[in-house]
Amino acid sequence: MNKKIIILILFFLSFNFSSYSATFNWTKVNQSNDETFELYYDKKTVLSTGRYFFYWQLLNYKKKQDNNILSLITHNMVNCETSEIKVISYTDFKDNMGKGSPDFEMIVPEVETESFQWTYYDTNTTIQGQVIKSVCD
Amino acid sequence: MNKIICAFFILTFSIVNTHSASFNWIKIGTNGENDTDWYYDPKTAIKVGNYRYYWTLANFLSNIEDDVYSSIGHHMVNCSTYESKFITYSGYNSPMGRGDLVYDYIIPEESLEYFYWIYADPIEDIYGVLLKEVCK
Repeated sequence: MNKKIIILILFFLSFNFSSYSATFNWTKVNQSNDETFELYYDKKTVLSTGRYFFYWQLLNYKKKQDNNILSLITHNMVNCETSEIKVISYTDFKDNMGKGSPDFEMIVPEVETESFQWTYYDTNTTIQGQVIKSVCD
Repeated sequence: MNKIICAFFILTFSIVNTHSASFNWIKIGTNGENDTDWYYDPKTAIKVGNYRYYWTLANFLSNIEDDVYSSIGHHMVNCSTYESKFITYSGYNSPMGRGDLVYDYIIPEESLEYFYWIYADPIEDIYGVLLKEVCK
């Protein structure tokens, strides 16, 4: 009995400590209508200090894209009042689920100033909108 | 004994829930001028590609301006050069990021002029010591 309790305690403690670590813990939101990709976000990275929320998102392709990438991770900021997002950074990978070495990365306002814009997504009709809804709820 | 197990499970899951959107600041130290304490939250540090992203807290001990007693910032660092960029700056009228928000800036939104890489010495500069922790 005591051994079982110790094993249970160790199991849950390890779960707790792992959630402190700097690795992603992706939650799937949905997949595209054409089933070509899935969108995930990491709940524990959702943080806010002022007007906006910040979080990390993963787009996972089902098939290799023309540029050979299979997934991309973006760091986004959200305006929950307007359902708009801005992408702060973009990193793509040749493996699924953001695995493997990064293929290309970009700090958006540094490299593509004109792309650092607010973009609106309908929370009812788009998957990106569903991510916004999840982050803002 | 069953009560102890139940209590343990409840405690465990309540701790997991508090991870979602709150900060757990760890003090790094005070700067050379003795006017700012620097903190960062290790669980917010995320490595993606060549950079690490993290959240910091600065507690202002003296020379208070505009009623800002503390600030929370979202920063990024290139660990191979100890250069960092500040993405956000939120100033509060109480210590430890409490009270009312006085300022709330998204740095690259305000001006790209301020969205620059800045080096901090990991030994001489308290912010560099913070970067060393982030880059561990």
